[in-house]
Amino acid sequence: MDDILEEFLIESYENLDQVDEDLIELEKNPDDQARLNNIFRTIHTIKGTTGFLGLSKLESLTHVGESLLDELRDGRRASSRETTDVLLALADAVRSMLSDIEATGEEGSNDHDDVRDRIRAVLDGEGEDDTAREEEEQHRVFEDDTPTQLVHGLEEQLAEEDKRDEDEDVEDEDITTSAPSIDELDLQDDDDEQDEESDDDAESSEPSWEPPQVDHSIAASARSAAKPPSPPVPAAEQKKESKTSNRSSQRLSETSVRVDVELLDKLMNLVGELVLARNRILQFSSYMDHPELVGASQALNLLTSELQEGVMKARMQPVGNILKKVPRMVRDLSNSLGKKIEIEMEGTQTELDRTLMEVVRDPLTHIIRNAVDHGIEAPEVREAMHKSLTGMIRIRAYHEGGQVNIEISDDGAGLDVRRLKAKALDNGLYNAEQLQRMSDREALELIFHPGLSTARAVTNVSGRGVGMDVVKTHMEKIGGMIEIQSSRGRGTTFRLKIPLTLAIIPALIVATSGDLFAIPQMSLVELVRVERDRIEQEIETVYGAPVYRLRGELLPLISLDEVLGGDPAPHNNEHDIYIVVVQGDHQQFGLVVRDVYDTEEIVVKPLGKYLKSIPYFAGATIMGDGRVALILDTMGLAQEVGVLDEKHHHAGIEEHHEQAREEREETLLLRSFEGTQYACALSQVARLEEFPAANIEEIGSGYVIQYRDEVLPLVCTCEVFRTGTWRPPEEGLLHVVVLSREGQTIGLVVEQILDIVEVSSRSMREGKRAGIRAVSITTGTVIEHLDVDALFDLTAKRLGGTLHA
Amino acid sequence: MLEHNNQFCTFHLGDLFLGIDVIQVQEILRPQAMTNVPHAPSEVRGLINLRGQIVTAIDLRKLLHVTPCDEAAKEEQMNIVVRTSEGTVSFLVDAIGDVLDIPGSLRAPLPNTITYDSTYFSSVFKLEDRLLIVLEPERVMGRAALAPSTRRLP
Repeated sequence: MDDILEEFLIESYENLDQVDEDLIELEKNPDDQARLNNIFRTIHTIKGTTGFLGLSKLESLTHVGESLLDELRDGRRASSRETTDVLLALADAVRSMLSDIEATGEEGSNDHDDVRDRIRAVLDGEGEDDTAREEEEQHRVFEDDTPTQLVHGLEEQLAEEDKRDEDEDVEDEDITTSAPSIDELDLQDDDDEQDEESDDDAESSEPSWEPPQVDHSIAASARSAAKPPSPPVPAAEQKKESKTSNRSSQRLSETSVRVDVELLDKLMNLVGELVLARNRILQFSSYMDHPELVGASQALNLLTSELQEGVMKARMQPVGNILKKVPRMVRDLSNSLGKKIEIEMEGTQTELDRTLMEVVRDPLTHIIRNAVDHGIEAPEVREAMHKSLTGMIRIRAYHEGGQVNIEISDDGAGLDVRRLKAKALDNGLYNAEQLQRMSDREALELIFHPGLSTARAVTNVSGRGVGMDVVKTHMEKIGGMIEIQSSRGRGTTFRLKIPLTLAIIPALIVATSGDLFAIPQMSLVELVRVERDRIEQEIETVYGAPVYRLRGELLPLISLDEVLGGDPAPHNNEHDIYIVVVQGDHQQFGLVVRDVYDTEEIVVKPLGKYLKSIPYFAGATIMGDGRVALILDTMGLAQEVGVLDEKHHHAGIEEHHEQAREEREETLLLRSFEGTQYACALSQVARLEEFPAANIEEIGSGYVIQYRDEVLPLVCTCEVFRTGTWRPPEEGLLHVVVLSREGQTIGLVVEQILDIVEVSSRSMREGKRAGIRAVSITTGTVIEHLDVDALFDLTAKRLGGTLHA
Repeated sequence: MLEHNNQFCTFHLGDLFLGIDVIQVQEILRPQAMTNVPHAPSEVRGLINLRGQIVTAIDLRKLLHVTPCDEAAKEEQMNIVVRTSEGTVSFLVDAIGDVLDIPGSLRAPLPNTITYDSTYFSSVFKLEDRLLIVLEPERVMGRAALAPSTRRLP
């Protein structure tokens, strides 16, 4: 009995997840009969089995749900938001009852009357009208003799009877306990359903009405009963469908077995041990020149590798498994936030080790929640931005270079780098100078800083500033990475890079003075050997910091010996040294080691609690000779030593490089009505126009002009700097610089457009007053570069925020 | 600890005579090859390979502030492998004593004047010729989280 119950719970949980998914899909495609049938079948199975197991509360709840589903299935009720809502609530209620059963072995005290009442309310939706129509239908049923409708009518009556006879359920159970075992029940489920229908059909030919408790016994005996003579087409179709899916599920159950996760983990551990034992034997056999031993150990080697691969494969699960709940979550969230969001998933079949999956689950959910909550804008905002009202979240999983990547992108507002920086400044994480030097990409990384959230409002969904840092730590813990790309107004993409598996990884074995260390191959870029007599020339120092010129780039160096508290002078010239080039977050660095051995498959073992706080090590492993070697956490190492702390310096250098490359920026020189010269980056200028002054119209919020069938708000620099107000001239031509940003346009009125000049970006200095992006010296005069964003913000404010959020 | 369960695995550490509840002891090992862990807390001697499982070895002398023994003696120290809720650890001790069956009536609370760091001890047993101090591995591991690593920040 316990086994049956357990089996029932496992299957029901799984099926309910599928129900969630199906319901969401159904809401999009109300005509999807297959999905509807799936949902019906699940609820029906649960109902049937609970009756059999004597779980009366659950049975009566699912029964009501089934009635509603039946109406949907017969097409007498269209699937709507309302029906989806109650059915999702039903799924939740069933789930919670199941977990009660799981915990105590019995039904809990909560019989979820509220959900039942909600479903009944939907069922009785049209009140008397409905019943009247149903009666009418029933009449018609008898006239037309269409079995499905008839069945429905009868089932309704059955439901009524059930309600009345709830106390007598016991009898039901007595009868049903003679039913076959649950496995059979599952397999036969669809047949049951069919049989019940045909059974009902059979009954329907008799005018007399059997009480429900007899119905079951008939259902059982009527398996062999005659099929309905000529069922109407839709019913036949349904049956066909259910039959085929039944067959496929049967096939699945024949070819696959459920395996306890614990057993899998144990197998994996054993394989890990085996790999280590193999490594030892291999090492041993390489010393012993015995042909038979060599042969045997090679066979062992091959077999172990294959076994390892097989067990790893068994632990793989499609990424889709953790994404199953996403559509439901997104739907619920977006509804509660009043947003419209569509979700698209690709590559859900991509497989990932299940331990990793567990670790990735939370970060993934977090990012998706964030996308819904903060990424995608409210519909009004989207409308104002000329975006489609429905936001889109895309989740894409794919293999790349021995890793699984999962990308979550939204087409929402994107991250605001300036706000991130401002926030970081407020919180005192960085000073203004550091922030100024920070590239946009680095600034985006700020969201991983604990305690930094740019959400304007803390909602119950997110915005508390805990989270992204946890996401990052989670990812790093499994040797993964997370990347962000964001463009304002266009959306944000998060890319999770996850190693394929955790337990066994290829690693490079290196040595310092005596000790062996393993460096996971994932973080390796290349190896450089420096011969001992070249060390002095090739390892240079920049203000005390050792560097190496790697193809023209300066590679900061860390001496492993020194970091680990050994010999502080790593390149004493007695020994060749190796530079292991390691990929950091954005930047490579070199790890100087004494010796480099082979790459080896190592089994990652966790470090005990005592050693967890040391940032240099990711774990330990056992080498071929039985010695324990520590696995280096290159990221932790770099961060601790501060190579990456210097990233701001390097970023500064990079920026210089960038500037050097795009040295010249084309700018438009113009004279404002106040007579001041301003410059404006040509890249932000859409067009230069001349309008007759007479065409300018005044609206409440200022002056506008009709331009290409749109209203172009006009703005003057004097408004930005609050030096006065601008009035259009009575007549004549008006010079307007049409500026565009993210699909929005505004017109900057100027007295004169002077010239287009190239300004060296090296000569630019940050602007000192609001509205000025930069100051530069061009052809001997100081020119202020307008901050176009400020112009847009000003116009937006004037128009009451409708231009830009 | 329950009254009826008074079997202790005893060991010597300098002048100290200590015991660990036998239930918690997994095995006793001869000296093992040790892998040094840079920047580990000072009481961590290193890692040992226990049939494929990696176990942290803790220098009990360091932990209990007993004068350290010389290098040669260090090499000779025995491992008491103990199971705790935080995983398996090995305690390095000078010498292993007998497993003693001690009646609960001999138990006494720790004297308040105890000079060693008493955090890791739970009680004392008044044996005929000497006193046995009971070491609680769980308490040792409980403190592990607080143990400062010796790494120096650049």
